Amino acid sequence: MDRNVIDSDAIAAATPLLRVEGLCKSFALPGGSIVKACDSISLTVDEGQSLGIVGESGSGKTTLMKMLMQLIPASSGTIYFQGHAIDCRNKSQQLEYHQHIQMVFQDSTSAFNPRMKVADSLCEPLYNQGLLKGRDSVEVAATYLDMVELSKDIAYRYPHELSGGQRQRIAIARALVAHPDIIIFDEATSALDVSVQDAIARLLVKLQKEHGYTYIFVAHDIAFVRCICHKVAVMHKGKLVDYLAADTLVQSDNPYTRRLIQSVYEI
Amino acid sequence: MKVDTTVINDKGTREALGKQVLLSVEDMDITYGKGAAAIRGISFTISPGEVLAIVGESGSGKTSIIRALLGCISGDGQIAKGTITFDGTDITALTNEEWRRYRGRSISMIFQDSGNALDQIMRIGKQMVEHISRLTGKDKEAAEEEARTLLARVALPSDVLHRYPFELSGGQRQRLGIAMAMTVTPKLLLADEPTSALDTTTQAQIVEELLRLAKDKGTAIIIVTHNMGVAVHMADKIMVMKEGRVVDYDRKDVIVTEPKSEYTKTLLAVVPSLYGKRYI
Repeated sequence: MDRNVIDSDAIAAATPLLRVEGLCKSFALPGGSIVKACDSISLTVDEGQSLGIVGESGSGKTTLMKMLMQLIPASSGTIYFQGHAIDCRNKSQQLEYHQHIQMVFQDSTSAFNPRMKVADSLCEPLYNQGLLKGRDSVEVAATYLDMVELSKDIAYRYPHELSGGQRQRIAIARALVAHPDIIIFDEATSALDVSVQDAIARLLVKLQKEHGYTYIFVAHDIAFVRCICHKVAVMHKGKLVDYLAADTLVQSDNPYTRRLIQSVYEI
Repeated sequence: MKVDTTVINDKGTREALGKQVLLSVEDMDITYGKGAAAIRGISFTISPGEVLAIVGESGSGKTSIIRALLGCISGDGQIAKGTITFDGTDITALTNEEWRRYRGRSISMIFQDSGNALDQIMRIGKQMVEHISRLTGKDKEAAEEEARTLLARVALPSDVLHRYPFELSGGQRQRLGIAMAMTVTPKLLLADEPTSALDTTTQAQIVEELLRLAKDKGTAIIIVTHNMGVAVHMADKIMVMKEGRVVDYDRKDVIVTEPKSEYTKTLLAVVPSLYGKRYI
């Protein structure tokens, strides 16, 4: 891992939006052995930038994201948001942190309640935070559907009536509704057609430029991550093995990164 | 075996040139229910050892076509028009009994989630042995040996034999499905998005294994994918589909350098690249 890259980044942005230091997560297996899903991960995410996390299945990407979302507690290590350490035992602090960070999952079918219309699903984060009364939901839904370039009529439909690409746009809209600073995309476009992925990538970059969102992309497709991110972190067997600027990715001399690069079929 | 495909879709000329045609589909329409044809006017040919990639978005009809080739169009779908000639026989009108002779032997299929086709509460070893001995007539020991060889070909450890399908990851299950489709070297292998759910490194491994099958054993492969990168790497010929129709069908180098339809150009442009343009 190139330490110089990280240090220079830290100097450039005095207080990164999100900083992770020495984050570890171990799971105990039935046999009594322990598997280290994440092994001292340290990285920073700057405001308005995109960080890509690449690795194969089982490399610990999703575990890391779950810890960032505070869905599971870290075994050790600290997460700093805007310079403050997040205490996993302080419930009120957690609640506040959750308003700043949202996640979009890979499987858009299971991410929605099949018995709720799109407008209600979209506004659920606001209901949960007590920011919205029932009647305004259609208006709010229309605004956010427009942001993700979908027609207003979709607000009255059910998730199963939509295509995978449309559903993923709605998942993005639902993440935006809560006015987050950071949005995590966990393989959010890998199940979609390449042309749909392209359209969604363009949309996300447009939204980032307009509203200054900070993105974390978790994906196994290193080419896609290079195209959409400013920085790329490569994970392998729970460890961060490479961490560099996306435009210098192809020059990486890390053997594992090279293997990932070689597995991409260029036209 | 490298096949000259200068004159594509022209069976007469190919035969005059002495090129053997393994499968030829002529002017095929597929309908679902009483509706209009979902797939219209599909014609293509494939020779032994040749790889054809069918590319298109979800809903463009790729899967319907290869399911038709295996006589198992889902639901109330049926071939409304056209002929499919495989190895000199018209296979559109086969009975179920006759189909059984082709499936898994002459024509094999790898589904997108082929691992899910396994019995979840039977050990993988038992299922593989059953499958191998049914197709090849080998006894238990020989079949088990064969199973180990097949697993090695898709880079799975042999202790997988003692496990249950649900204990494997999605990628491992998919590789298992691919291993089982290669039990008897088929004349024609149909692969429906075989690597879409896999990591790029595993994908590369599977792609190489499939190509070796085509090169060494002369198996013709039809691969359905939405990944233009994979299609270009693997195929000799590429067929691009949109809304049930073929919009482009040619040799791969022609498709890449001078695609006829705008849609093909779009598909080529949206593939994320390590060296090309970035979104930001």
